[in-house]
Amino acid sequence: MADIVAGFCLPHDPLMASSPKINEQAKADIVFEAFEDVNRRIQALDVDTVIVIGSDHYTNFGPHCLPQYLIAVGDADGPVEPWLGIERYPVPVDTALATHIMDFGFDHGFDWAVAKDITLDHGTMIPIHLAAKPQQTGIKSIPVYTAAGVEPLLRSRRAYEVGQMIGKAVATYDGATRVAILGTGGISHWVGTAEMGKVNESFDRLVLDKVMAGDVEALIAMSDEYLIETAGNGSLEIRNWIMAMGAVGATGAELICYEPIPEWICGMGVVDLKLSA
Amino acid sequence: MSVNAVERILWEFGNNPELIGRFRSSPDGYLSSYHVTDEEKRALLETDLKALAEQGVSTLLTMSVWPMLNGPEGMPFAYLEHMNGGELKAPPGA
Repeated sequence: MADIVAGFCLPHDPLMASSPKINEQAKADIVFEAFEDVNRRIQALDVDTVIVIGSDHYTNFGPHCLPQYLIAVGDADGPVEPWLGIERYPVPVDTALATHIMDFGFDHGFDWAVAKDITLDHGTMIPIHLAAKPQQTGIKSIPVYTAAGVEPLLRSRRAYEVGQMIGKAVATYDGATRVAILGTGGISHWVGTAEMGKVNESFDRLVLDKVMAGDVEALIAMSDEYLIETAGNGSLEIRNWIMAMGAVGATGAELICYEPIPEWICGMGVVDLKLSA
Repeated sequence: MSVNAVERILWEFGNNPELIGRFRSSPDGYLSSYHVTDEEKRALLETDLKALAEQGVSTLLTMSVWPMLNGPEGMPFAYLEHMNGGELKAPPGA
């Protein structure tokens, strides 16, 4: 039986790759070190596969087709954005486990959209590249994309349910795979709007407090209107954190770092989720 | 709906930048196959992405297409100045 042995929430800010040097370098370095810390924790737990939950940014998907939630089950490479400064490379996908999760969903009321071959954007590639580091570790990925940035948005409640389903699917997998869940994005940020560069630290700390208390219902209760008004359209990505909390049955979390970084247009939070017994 | 058509146009620009050249060489001909209003045509021709965003066009698209239309050196400050109506009081990290 496969096991979820860890879960993390962390940003997928593309500016970490494209603009690693900023005026407030000490704050940036704390975030980079937090990603290194996540990588060390993953390796210490002998993780074989990371399930990486990220948002589409109107990059992979367009007005012709907008999945609510999608799982990549075949080949993947990335990143798609040349401006990230990361040379595109093949990303190893755990196709057997991904296919099992896909089928488990189909059999339990979750109609996944499916990618058989996909070039990943920063929404999954930043955490894969900087936290899983497949080129060095050989850790496989299962990219999951959510409608967390482009309307119509995945409902937060449904995000939680999809997460729970992922957790059950992993538990019913025959392989002896050790799995970590990465819920990515957020926290406060305004993407492409006139306010871009603003960060709402008090909101970010409220979200972190709720995650550390294991109070996922408080996060689900945050309406999209409230999120956009209070913490920008980028904060809608906390549904990726909610999905991760659902997958691991999070009862709380350890804060690894939080840094508000206007130059990276984002409140950068990294947490290690406490798993349910 | 017009917003959807504009989002399609911008999304296609983003995924195939060659289309921007075709659009610029014959704007009316290019846009004739899309369901856009005269005001949206004006905004596209003048790169008035602020006006399009105010009509509901995703700012993920306006942000990603801006450097293709105006040059990458304009990111983020010229873009933000535009989105703020020509004034940028507090640029990121300032």
